[in-house]
Amino acid sequence: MTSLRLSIGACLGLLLAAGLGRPVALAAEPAEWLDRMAYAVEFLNYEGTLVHTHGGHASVLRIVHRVEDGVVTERIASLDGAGREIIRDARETTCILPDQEMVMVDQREATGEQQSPLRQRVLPYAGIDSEYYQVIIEGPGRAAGRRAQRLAVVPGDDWRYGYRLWLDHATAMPLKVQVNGIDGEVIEQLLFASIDLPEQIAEERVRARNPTESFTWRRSEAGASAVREEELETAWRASALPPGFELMTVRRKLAGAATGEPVEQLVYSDGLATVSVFIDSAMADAPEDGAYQIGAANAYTLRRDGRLITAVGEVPGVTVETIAKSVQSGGAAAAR
Amino acid sequence: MSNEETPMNHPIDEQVSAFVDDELDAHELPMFTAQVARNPELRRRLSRYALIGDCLRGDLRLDIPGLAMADRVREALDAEPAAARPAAQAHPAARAGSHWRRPALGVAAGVAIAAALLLNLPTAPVPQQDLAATGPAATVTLAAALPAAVPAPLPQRAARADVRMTNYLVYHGEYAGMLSSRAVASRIVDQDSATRWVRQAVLTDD
Repeated sequence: MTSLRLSIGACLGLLLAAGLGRPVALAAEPAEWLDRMAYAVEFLNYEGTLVHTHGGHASVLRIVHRVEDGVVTERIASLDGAGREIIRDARETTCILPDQEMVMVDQREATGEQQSPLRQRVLPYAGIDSEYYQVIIEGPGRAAGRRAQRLAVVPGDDWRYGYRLWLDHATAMPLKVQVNGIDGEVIEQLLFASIDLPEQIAEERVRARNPTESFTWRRSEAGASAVREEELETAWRASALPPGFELMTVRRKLAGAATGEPVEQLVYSDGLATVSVFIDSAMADAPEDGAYQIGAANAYTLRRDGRLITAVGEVPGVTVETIAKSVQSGGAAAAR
Repeated sequence: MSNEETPMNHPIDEQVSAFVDDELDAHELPMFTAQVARNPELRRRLSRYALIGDCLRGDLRLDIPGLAMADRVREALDAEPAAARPAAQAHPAARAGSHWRRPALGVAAGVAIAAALLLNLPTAPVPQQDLAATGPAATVTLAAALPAAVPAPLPQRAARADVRMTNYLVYHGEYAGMLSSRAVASRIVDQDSATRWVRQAVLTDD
C-alpha cells in the first residue's frame, strides 16, 4: 500500500512554529496526526462521556480507558437503558447485556499480545491507502471545549465512507468524529461531551458493575482466529470484493449467541474500514434476507447452502451487499 | 404559562441547542451531560435538535422518492421569523445573554414529528408543553410544509435486532477500524439503538 505524504499541514505547522519562535512540537502532517490519534486512543489514560447521534437518535456513553504498565483495560457503558457494558482487557472483550441476561466473551489471540495482529495493522496511519482515501488538514477548531485540529478523511469512491475529525490539539485524542455518507452528509457523530486525561485511573473504575452470576455466558474459544492457510482452501469466502478490500483474517469456533453453535467470521479491510462476514449455521429466528442499517453501520443477510450469511461494517450498504452476495464455500467455488 | 415564560425549560433548551452546535461552554459540559444521562426527555430533545440541525445544514439525507422533506423543512424555516429558528443557524452571540427567546423547541418538535412520520422512525412522544411552545405562525407554517397526504410507509420497517446481531457486533468490534470502534461499542451498549436496526430497500440488482 502507498502511504500518503501531504505537506500542507507540515508547512503550516512550520510557519506557525517559526512565527512563534518555538520549536516544532506539534504534529503537522496528516500522517503524524493520525498516528498520534491512534496512540492516544489506545495508550493514554482517559475517562469521559460520549454522545453518539445518528438518524435523529442520541445516546450517552461513559468510557474509562486505563493503561497501567502498558496493559490496557477499558470499560464502556450505556448511561441509560438496561445498563449494558463492555469490558475490554488484554485477554478478552466481555459484553454484559442485562436485558438479555447474557454475557458474551470474545477471547483474543492466545499470544499474550496487547492487541490482535489485525488491530495493530489497521490502526497505524500507514495502513490507509491513498488510492482510496485522501487525508486533509482542515485547520483549527474546537470540540468539547478544547482546542482541536480538524482533519478530513475523504474517500476516493462510493464503496466507503468519509470522516471528519476534531483531534485534541494537545493529545490528538479524537474529541469529535463524524461519519460522512457518499454525498458528504453527516450520518453519524461521536462527540466527547467531557473528557479527563489523568495520569492514573484506579482499577475499580474499569470493573464491571452488573452482577452476572445467573446470566447465560457465550464464550469464543481462544485462538479461534488461528486458521491455517490450507484450511482457507475449503473455507467460505467472498468472491467479489470492492476495490481495496482484502481478506485480513478468518476466525472459527466463535460462539453464536442464538444457540451457542460455532460461527465463522471473515474480516475484510481496506486499511481503514472493515467488513465482517459471519457464517452462521443456526437458522432459528434468523432475520429476513435483505439489508439493514443502524447509523453508519450496514448489514446484509442472506441464506445460502443452509447457512446464514451476514456482512456487517461501517461502509455503505452497497458494499456489504456486494460482499455478502458473493460469499460461497470453497468447495462450491472449486466446483465451478 | 406563556411561551416565553418557561423557566424550567429555556435554560436547558439553550444548553441542548448550544451542545448540538458545539458552543456549550466547557464548564457547562459535565453538568449538562449528567442531566442528559439521567433524563430521557432531555435525550429526546437532544435527538430532535440534532435532527433539525441536520435538516438545516442539509446534512440529513432523506432518500424518499418524490418527497424532498429536508427542502420542505428548510422552506418552512425560511418562512419563520428569524427569532423562531433553532440555534443551528443562530449566531453564537445570540447566546451572550442568558435570556434565550427563540421558541425553537416548537419548531424542532414539528420537524421531529414530520421526520418521524416520513422516516417511519420509532416515534418518541412529544410532550404537550413542547407543542404549546410553538407559536401559531410556526405551527401553521410547518403544517403547510407537510405534504397534504403523508405517503405510504417507506419500504423499510423496523426490524427487531435480536441478540444474534449484537453478537455479530461484538465480534466485529474487535476488528473495527480506529475511526469506527467506538461507534460499534456504542451500538452494542445502547439498548435502544440495538433494537433499531432498520430494514432497508434493496440496493442493487442481482
